[in-house]
Amino acid sequence: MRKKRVTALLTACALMVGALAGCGGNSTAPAESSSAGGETQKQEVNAENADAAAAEDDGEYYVDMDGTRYKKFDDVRLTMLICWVGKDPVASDQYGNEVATAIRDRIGVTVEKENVTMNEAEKLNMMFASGDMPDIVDCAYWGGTSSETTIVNKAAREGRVTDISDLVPQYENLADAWKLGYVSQRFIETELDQPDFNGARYILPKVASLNEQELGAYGVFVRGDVPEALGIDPTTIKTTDQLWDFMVKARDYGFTDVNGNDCIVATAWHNGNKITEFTQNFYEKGRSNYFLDENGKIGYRTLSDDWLNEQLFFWKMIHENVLDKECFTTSDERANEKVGNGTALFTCGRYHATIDATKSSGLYDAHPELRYVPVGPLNYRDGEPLTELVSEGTDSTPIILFPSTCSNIEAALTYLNYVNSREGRILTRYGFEGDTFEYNEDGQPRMTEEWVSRYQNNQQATRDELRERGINDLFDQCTVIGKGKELFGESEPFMGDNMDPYLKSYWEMRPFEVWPGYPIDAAASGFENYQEFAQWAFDGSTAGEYTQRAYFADSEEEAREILEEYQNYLMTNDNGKMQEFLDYMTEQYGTRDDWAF
Amino acid sequence: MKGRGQNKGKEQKVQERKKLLIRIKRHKMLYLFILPCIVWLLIFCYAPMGGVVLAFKNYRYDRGIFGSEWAGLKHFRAFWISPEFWSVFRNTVVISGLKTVFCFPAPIILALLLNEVRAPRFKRWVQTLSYLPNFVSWAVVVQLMTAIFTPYGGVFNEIRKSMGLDPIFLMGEPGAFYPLVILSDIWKGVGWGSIVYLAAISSVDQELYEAATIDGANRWQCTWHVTLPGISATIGLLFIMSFGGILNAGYDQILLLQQPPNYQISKILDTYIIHTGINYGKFEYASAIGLFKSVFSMILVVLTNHLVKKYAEIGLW
Repeated sequence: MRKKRVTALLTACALMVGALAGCGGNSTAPAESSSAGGETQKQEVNAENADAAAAEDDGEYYVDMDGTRYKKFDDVRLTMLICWVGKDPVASDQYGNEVATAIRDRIGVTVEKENVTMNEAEKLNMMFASGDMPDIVDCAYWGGTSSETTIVNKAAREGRVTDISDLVPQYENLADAWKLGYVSQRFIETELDQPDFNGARYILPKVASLNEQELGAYGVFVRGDVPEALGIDPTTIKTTDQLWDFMVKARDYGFTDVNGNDCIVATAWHNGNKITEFTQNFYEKGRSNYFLDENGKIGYRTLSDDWLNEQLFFWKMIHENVLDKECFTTSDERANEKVGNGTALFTCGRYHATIDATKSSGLYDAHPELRYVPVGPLNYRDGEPLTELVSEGTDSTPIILFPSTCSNIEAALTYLNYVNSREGRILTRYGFEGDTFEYNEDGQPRMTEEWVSRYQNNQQATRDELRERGINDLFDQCTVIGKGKELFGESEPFMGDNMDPYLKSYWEMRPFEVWPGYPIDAAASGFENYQEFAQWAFDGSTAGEYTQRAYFADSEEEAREILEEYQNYLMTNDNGKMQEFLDYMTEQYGTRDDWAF
Repeated sequence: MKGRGQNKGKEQKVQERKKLLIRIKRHKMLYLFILPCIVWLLIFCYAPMGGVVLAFKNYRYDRGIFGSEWAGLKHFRAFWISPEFWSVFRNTVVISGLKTVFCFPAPIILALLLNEVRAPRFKRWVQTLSYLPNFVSWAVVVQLMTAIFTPYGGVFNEIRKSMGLDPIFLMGEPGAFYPLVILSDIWKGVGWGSIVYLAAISSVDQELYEAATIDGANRWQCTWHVTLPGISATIGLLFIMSFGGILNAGYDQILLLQQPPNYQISKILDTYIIHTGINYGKFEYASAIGLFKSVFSMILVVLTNHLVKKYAEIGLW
């Protein structure tokens, strides 16, 4: 009887403990609130700086190969959240791997990275709401009203992010991240220095000079055998009408994929990504969603007839069985299959993605005649050839931020400063001299022949092995200023000059073009209650719902009605705020003469 | 008289309480086993209810739920006057209503059918097979459906082609959306849902079947006049509770089955919460919609309970 009682008691206790297992408290002290845009944290950080300055005389420093001094910490362990779904896994031993140990020996800091396994916006939300935050966060910041941007800005305003305005300039390998040229004027004015941040800066953008950047290589691509079979030179396709005829001829020809199945005429990557590559010919050259009408007033592209006609072109593509009906809800994996098997005759988006899909499926090597080749590139409406327009500095970018609970901001910045130095980059990407890399005659690190040959035999296994040693263990996520080509002559280890010849030639067909001037979009943020207004006026989800619904309408009239309904919604919602906004933009237009549209 | 009656009532209550305490003392080991469940219920179901105040606040990350300033009914008003309120509300009620009509009786029918199977091995086999889909996530189910119904090489369209018909994008046909939702929901949940009814059927007195058979009842009449009345209490209770979830149309299933052509009929409260609330960090707005859902569901449960109690003498309380 006693035994039974004891057993029952223990079982009940075990059940109760099990039920409460998830109720662990947060040992981290909650961040002190600040209604003045993080004033409190700023003071704390300044106090820490003062301490650091005082310690300069008697502290221990590490001096790297270029003579830069780094304060040495006493085994500081920090956590970093990599807020990107689908990133490579991290090394299983984040503290004891060789690279982590080497960095710790030099500056006394270890950063242990963790990947997210849930929706990024949801994770950021939960993190900021609960106050259970890592020391460093790497996440997207696409600007405007995108989810992550909205959440990060809210967190910054509400004291959940550390103000780093006075700190970053002190770290020489990070300081350039805020400079014009690396970031655009628009980014500085509308994202970095938002009026209600009261002079505080919260985000460290991850940037690269134009020379370091890889071209997006966006465009329309066609399976290699299609133009040959139809007797069309794809590089002569310059207008939407020519593209349409080309696609219709391809549809009617009766091509099959490598498995002998019927083909889809045109597809896109995840959720219809970049289908606007098919319609580049609808617009004049420009990067803005605004235009100047014949009366000298600012117009919004979505309210124009050009936009409406562009959307009706997509309706025609769906209606005439030219565009993949599943592409608006498809995943990249499914798109990979369609392209990798040659099932889609035309693709759009980045050329890299198309080439990679055919390489990983084996089509690239087994059927060279089916390799996708560029169409056009199309011209702008006025007949000018298409280029890849970029601003002077990045407009939207991944960022690094430091939550207000960051246990040691100085150590975190020192770590980033070190891994962004030449020595840090060599260590974190190439590993150890004589073991994993050697210097070439130009003094640039190159992986050893042994590792190169292993990489050529099995890329994934080699990457995995190196990662377990801490080499290339998501250090891209810590790269604040991309300098691979400038410092080492290659964007990353193993790359050398092994660029795909198709990609290389496409870069020449559609080169970079810097779009000068002050972006008109930057004027928008000064509109009263802009954030509130932008959340509905420029909400991509609502726009996507209307337009995609229109693409699947039974008739062109019905599609037009849906699109006009959306335009009407934009013009009438919130008591016609859109017109007020456009009037404001027109007013702003008169204030300077170097606007870029 | 009144005072004496009141005293008597009080005494009776005290007696009952004493009896309860004696019973608890006598069976303390059994009651001990309930304790973890009660603790779990208090911590995970009742304590978080305090969080509903979020719906009435202008939430700030740094000030938390209770420290943020009051906003009154601002978020409720914003939801009610939003242009999407009626379409989202209507879609939710329609989908849930259809599920109640078609998916609620399905497990009952399966349980009745299984009860009639006389070969025990076959019965177990069917039961096991019917439970399996419950363990497959909606993501996988929708993936399978996409592979079957895709217009580009899917089995469904290959059959159509072999019959001389044109392929169709079934997952994107607005007319096919409700049938796909209902059928996939039945396929996934019918087996698992039948367990509770099978348990209820097994408790029906076997002598009633014998008596009915002696009276000349055939198997259908036994089912209709013995089995169904025998499990009517279970059916009634589950029916009342199902009304509590009338605004829960199945978030993951609907979200995954959404396609551009069916947006207008597939946007439900839960997907709306994700889009407008969670994605932009507007927890207070999401909470207001959640609270609206809960209050509406509670009213429905009370009403249904009242009606079922009145007409079928079955009730939750």
